[in-house]
Amino acid sequence: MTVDSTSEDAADALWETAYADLKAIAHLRIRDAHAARVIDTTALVHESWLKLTAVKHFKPQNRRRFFAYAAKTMRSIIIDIVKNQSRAKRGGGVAEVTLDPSAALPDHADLIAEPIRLDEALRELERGMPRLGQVVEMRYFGGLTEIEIADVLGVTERTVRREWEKAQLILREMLVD
Amino acid sequence: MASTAWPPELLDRISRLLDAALDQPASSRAAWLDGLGAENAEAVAHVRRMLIERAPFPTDFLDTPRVESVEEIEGDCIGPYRLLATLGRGGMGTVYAAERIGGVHGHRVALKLLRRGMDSDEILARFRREREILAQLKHPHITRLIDGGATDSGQAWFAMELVNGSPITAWCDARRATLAERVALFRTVCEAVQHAHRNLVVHRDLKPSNILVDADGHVKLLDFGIAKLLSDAPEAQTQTHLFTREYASPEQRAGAQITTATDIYQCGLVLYELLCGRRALKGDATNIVRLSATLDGDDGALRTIADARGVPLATFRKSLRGDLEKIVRQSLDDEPTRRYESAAAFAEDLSRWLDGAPVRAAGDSRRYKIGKFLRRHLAAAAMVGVLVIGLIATTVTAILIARSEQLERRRADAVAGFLESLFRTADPRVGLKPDTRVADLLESATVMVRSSDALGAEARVRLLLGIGRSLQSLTQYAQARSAFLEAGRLAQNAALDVQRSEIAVALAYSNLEWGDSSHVDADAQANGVTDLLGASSSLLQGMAHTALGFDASNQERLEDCEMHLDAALRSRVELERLEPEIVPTVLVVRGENLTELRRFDQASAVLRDAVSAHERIFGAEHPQTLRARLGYLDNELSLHHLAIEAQIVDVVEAMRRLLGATHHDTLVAINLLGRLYLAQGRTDDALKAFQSIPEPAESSAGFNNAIGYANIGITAWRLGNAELAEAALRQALKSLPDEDANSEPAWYARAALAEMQCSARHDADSLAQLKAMYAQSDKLGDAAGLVGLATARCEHALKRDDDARALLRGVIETLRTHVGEAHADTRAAEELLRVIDEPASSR
Repeated sequence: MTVDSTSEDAADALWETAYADLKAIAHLRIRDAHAARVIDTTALVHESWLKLTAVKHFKPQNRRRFFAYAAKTMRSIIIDIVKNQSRAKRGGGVAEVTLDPSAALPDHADLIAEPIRLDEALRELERGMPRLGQVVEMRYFGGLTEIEIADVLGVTERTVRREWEKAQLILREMLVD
Repeated sequence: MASTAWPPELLDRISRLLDAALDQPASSRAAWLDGLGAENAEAVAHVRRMLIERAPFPTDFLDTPRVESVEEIEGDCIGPYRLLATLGRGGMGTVYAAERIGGVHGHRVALKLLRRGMDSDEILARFRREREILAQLKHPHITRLIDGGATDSGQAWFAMELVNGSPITAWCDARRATLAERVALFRTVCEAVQHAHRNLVVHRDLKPSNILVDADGHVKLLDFGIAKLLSDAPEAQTQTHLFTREYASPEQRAGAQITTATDIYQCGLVLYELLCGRRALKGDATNIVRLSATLDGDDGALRTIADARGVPLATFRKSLRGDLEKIVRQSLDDEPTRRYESAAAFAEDLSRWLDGAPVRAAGDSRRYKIGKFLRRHLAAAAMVGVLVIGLIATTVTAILIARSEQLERRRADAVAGFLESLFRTADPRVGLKPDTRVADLLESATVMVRSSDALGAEARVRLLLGIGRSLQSLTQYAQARSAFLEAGRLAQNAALDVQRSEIAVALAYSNLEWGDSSHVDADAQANGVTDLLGASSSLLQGMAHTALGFDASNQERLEDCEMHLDAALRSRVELERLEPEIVPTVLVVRGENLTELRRFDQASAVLRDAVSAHERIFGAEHPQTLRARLGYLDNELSLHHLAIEAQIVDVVEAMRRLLGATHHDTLVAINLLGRLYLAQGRTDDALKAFQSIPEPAESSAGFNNAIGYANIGITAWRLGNAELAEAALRQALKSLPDEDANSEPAWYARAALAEMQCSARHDADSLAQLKAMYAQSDKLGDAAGLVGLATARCEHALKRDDDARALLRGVIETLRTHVGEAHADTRAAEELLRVIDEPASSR
């Protein structure tokens, strides 16, 4: 894999545009929705992808790389945004929470509100088990499906599922400690 | 989490152990882990925690709810729709602009794709069940729900009419809309909400972002029916917080029953925001910031809003005070039954404001008498009880018929489903008033029965008959008549002769009550049962008097009420045969009315009868029966019968069990107990009782709270606890709405405060205050005696015993009349007179 390895057919300029787009859309969406607790990564990534394919003539074969790259990008964007928000929040009001049943589950809500803690835990996981980390990154931050992750990593779906299961168990253990 | 806690070697070991453990069946993992040696103890301990101790693992952990499947974007299609653009997203999913494949080009819809993790099967099943109701929601100001389905990956989606507009608040601000323009626009919102309620749909999530205004100034309400589809899914039932926090009603936060009153509250929040530019609920706070408090608040922020609207700050403030403030307050009452009874009533009051007419919210028509803390309008509640019981009985009968005829289970289910859909939105036990909401409910019920082909003819006839009767009790005669006529036609076609006669009677009675004689003959003739009328005239008259009596009671025409209910009970035997549940209600309404008329002896007999009638029909342990007993005991106290402690305690306990410790009726019963203790001179016990009534929320300050505080204050003062007394009495006065400044609790509180001041300072000023109050004793009602006693005490404290003596004779007389000879206050006045006389004679 993949994410950082260069590929001949991908021009750096395009990735830079992709990054700028992702970031712009992410900020826009989060501001619009007032729903700081819910950052819809899948939609962000796909929206950005749609935009790129429409305007920048991305080729379908770029899609796999784009998603891997987007997952990593989204992770850093989200962490940035959440950090900024938690700074802002200390001075300001509480973000509006829309009709969202998931917000009612306390430990779940904590995790959504705390991508920073997850990010830290994930870093630790990556040090020992890089592939588990990638799976989490792509699924949680990038919103990719198991099929897509298997495709990006070049492994079977079954492997992705197992890695995901293990990663969840370990991360939860890390976070509840 | 310490960064050293998870070295790569440990993670590696954990990962291997997990691989091995996960390959085994879950049931044998514990044993397998136990069988491992001491090496890797730390990793084993972690794995044991992960797999055994913390099982079951939450399946949605990290499975971010917002993550949607990719397929629909890849193909750009959901169901028969092609996605065009993303419009927005919330916690429930994403909304796209979409176009029907093969449909008219350019005809767009809003397509809401629910996020993964929602129980799509259940939501869709519910959608299919509710579809007919939602389809009836045709209204120019409500976006239509067009279609629904599931994606290949099982995510539910709904297609709705697409609106290009902005939230009502933003729209008004952008146009610097005047107050009148805002109110007029908002009135349209209320009318749309009313339409939905009439069709049995409660929104549950009204907020500015769901109320859009398009470029032409047309209001559109989004997502009607959606919240219900989602929140009734079993998944959501365990998650009580399915609402937008800043637009949540108290009952939503408490996880209590959602009714149309919830929408009224949310409308109130939106109106609030529309008027003053601020949200009523701030952040996590659950108490609304009163509009007046907002207006009193920070000048700078208010000035910004006033400037934005182009009006001077003082004008802005002034225009929002008074009637508009009262309208907002009435819609935002914490107690659902005390809000506007319907969106239509809300809209009407706004119309009145726009026309410069006095608004209804200003005059408190739901006035509680002193000492009847939180007393619900019993007549109203009981009457709805009758309606609902009648309907349920009818429906149950229909089910029984369906069974006895061995019809398919489907029919019985259809009846049950009908009943469910009828009452889901309005639970009579939460104290619904017999208002337009019920009438609307019944009217839509007629439509539903008409279109329920699954029901057999007999079941439909029964239901229509029940609905017609209920409508008629609500004086909705035209609708009642059409329900009866419909039932008559059905019965005729199905040759159900017994039912035909019954319908004819009901119809004739309804027409009679309506006073529209043109129908009486025509309908009687059409049904060919003119002779039945003569035979049943006593019953018909009984029912007519019942209805008129209830009506008079609701309008507080006490004498009329007594006249009609007395007349109704002359047909008691016939009433008991055809409408057995109605008699106990007639008795209790009549008895309470007699108490109001201060005809306590007569009331006592009627209420005793009411209690036993309730016990016969509903059983002893029934909320209605307990309410009847409470009415009886309250009247006993008015009769100065003080040996009723055990009975009140019994009612309190039963209500606690049946209704809960904080139910209004329970609180009324506890308050009655406190009043009894006060009368008995058991002041300590009285204070305990009054104080056990939960401290009311700051936001719901009002007449009832004032009574609660006044009771605590007076009692504490008698116990010599001046500090508590003063705080409670001041709180009582503060809680009183402006229009109640001269009500009984106000007199109690002012008199007690003045007496306290007199006792502490012996000043002439407090005496003057008391004398001025007592001078108006004819306006003080039951408070007159206590005000007089306080004045006499103050005179005595100021050593003006001659004046005190002169005063006391009249005071004792007043007290004897109002609270009775045995009452502690009367005895205290007599004791004071003795104290004044004795030293004088021995001196």
